[in-house]
Amino acid sequence: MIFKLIYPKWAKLEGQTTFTLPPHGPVVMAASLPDYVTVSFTDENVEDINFDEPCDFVGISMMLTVQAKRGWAIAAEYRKRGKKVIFGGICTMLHAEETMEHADSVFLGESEGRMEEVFSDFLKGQLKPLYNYLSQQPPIELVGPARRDILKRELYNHKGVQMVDLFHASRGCRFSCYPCAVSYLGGRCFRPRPIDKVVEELEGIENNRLFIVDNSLAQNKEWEMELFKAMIPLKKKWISHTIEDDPKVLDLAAQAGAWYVYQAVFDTSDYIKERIKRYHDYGIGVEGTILLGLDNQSEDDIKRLIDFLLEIDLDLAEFTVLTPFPHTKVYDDMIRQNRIFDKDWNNFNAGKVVYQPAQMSPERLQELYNYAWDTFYKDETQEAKMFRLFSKVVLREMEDNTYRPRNRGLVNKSFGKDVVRNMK
Amino acid sequence: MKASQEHIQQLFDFKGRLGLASKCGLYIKQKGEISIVIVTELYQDNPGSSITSVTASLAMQIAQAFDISIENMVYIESSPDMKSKLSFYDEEYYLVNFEYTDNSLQNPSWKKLSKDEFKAIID
Repeated sequence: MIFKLIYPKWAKLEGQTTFTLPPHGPVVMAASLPDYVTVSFTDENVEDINFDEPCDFVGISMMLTVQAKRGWAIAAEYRKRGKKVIFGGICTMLHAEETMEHADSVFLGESEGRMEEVFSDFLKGQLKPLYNYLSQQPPIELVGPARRDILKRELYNHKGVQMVDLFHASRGCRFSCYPCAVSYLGGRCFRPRPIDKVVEELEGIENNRLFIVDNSLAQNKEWEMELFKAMIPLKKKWISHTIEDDPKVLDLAAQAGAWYVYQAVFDTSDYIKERIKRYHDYGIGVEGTILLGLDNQSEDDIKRLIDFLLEIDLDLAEFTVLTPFPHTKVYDDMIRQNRIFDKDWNNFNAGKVVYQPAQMSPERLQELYNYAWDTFYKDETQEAKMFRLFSKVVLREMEDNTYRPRNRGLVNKSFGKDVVRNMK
Repeated sequence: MKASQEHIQQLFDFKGRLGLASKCGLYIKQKGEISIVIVTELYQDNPGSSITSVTASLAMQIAQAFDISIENMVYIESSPDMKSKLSFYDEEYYLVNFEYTDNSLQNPSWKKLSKDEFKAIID
């Protein structure tokens, strides 16, 4: 039985360097499929969909809100051809009711231990319109190694450099951060995977460079330290979100191969300055993630924040505008105050203002967002800063003999397409 | 962060979006014929949908569970003080108005209440 699994494309933000990483949701879901299912995977961000490729059942995995409308359009194409379509993934959970209007079936929740039922129903012609396991998370021990074998790896390669592989060591989140839906999606308890399972999966990943996508590793210090200790012998190099602000943890993280972290920078305090410095003291780079347009930010606050970023020696910065995604507190607040003026999900890309900010016009916030990118990268481009960070990891790999030269066979390719060189 | 217990008499289990098991704080005060209903968001202690994402449905579920006449119900959503450093988790109250047609509540609209306005309603 052939299951056609699709990851819909979305428009990348203008002006930013775009690297296409291999998706995580589809490879995790594929690992939970019954043995009799053969997966054919297409990531539409790197290759076109052949709607006439033979298959029995179609799955559409969506992570981002900006994938929703494209996912629904893809479903329409398959359904025209008489195929049954099921949706899953984070975006599906956020937009479940709407997605049900475009699907034969919608799966909500985590797929481990659930796919036997779904595929058995499909084979009997009794597919249900909704499988709602959102509040019934499977035991975390059931999460096995993801099926990265379904990826066409050469498509996630830029001029011979393989992109990082995505990996997760935990699920759920005990925080309820204002703009975030993770605790709604993955449960409000932090659920770390057993360390031996994590190590088993990491050992099986051929790629030496990873992105640990967990919302925050800083949720259980004991487990976090055990995780880093177990990772040291693997000599992987990795990116992650926040790491516990504790010298012992940072030291272990560095030994375990922490390359750089995404760290929210929300004010101009000495605490933030010191936090960044402490990462750097342990050789860990920092990409600041800066959210613009919160109700407590004035125009001057935003300008001061951008000046501050230039002072604190961030390696990279990523700016987003506040975006009211469904099932977040910010969404509820904006709905109550009737402040969302743009309901086109394609514009919920964190780069477009879709709501009325509290202290300025939407147009002014949009200008400040553009100003933030332009100002931070005025003296050194994003690509140049990335190259510096990349050089650091290469040096570390050379020191511990894990460096692998770029794939010479792919130096003229970028994400599956020919590189156009402007040489005179 | 735990929700303030100030306006919670009991916990109320309700069906959230697509039947998702959900929980909120509930306080009902009778003022003559008027039933003042205060629902409180529980954040981490709510496993399902937020009170705001299912306002009309939740109001209906409460009215049915406690035999409250819709015409005489004053419905208030409370975001409790979460003792957070971030102002987004300060205490807030919203009076919610609905259209009541064909035995169902529709088209909720919210009006933010000042502390004085809130006190005037419940005292």
